[in-house]
Amino acid sequence: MAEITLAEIFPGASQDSTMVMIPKSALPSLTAIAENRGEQLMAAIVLRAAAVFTEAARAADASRSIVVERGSTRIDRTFDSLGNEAQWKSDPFEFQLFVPYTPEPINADNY
Amino acid sequence: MTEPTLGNVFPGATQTVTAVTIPKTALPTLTARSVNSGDQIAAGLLLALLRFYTPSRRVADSDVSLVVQELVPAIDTFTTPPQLVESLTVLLFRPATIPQLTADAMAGAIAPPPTSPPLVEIEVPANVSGQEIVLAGSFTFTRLRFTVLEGFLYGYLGLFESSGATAFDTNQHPPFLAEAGETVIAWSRSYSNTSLFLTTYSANSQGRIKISFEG
Repeated sequence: MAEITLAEIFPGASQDSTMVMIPKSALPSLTAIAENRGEQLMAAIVLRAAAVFTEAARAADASRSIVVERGSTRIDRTFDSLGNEAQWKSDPFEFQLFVPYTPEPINADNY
Repeated sequence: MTEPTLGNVFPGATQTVTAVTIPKTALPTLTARSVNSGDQIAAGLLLALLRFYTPSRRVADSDVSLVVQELVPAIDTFTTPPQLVESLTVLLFRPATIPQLTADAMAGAIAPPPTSPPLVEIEVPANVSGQEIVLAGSFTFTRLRFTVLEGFLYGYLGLFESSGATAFDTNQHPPFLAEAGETVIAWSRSYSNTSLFLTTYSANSQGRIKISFEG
């Protein structure tokens, strides 16, 4: 099958030789305003990637070269220099990028 | 401290109320063309996040709520041809308030998750090879459970579309051994089709297995 296009990842997205335009409507759970915070946008991009680059999608189409798997939510604790504790939930998203690989013959002279 | 902006992560990027525009020069290692593939652009976005959201940035500033952990390379020789697999993990942090443990909180049992009956259950020989499974009409399942009813199952499991495309295949992993009464594997993924072909890749398996397609 043909490789996935930008618009298949982010519906309505477009590109030319210098830039990529992603509509905010393609970013899940993002409330679009004129100046979204950077991390809102990054989190939405990650969420969209996780929805598109599934293991099932790659199993059905070998031309897909990225798989994202969401892990279990974890609880983290941090302490500042005064010993004050903060608690966090962290959601891990593991990205696997598959790249063609040609094994090199083992050469005794390299050892 | 202040949160990083879009332009901090992707230099030159801009946004309006409806769209984000990112220059391709902000996507590391991407050779800009008029049409780059989706995978290329996605990888470029990821590499930009990897360069910016280092673990040390969050250690220095807890307002930073993303961390991307270093690439971990591995070679997957179970595939033909072999592939280099680069893995990275994006962590999204959000503030949490975890209630303190109290003795009173231990009252009552945690209710088990609701279970629904399988959509379809079939029984096949454990050494099945290429058996067609015809599912009634359009069919969507999210999990498959294999239970060894008698004998044992040694090998792999694969389920394929009539076109030859793979619905799933454990052939990339070491073979497993399961004996009677054991549930050997359960997948969690979505798939929809009406005709699938099952094989266990092993003539050594004996007995019968039950396959449950669960919604």
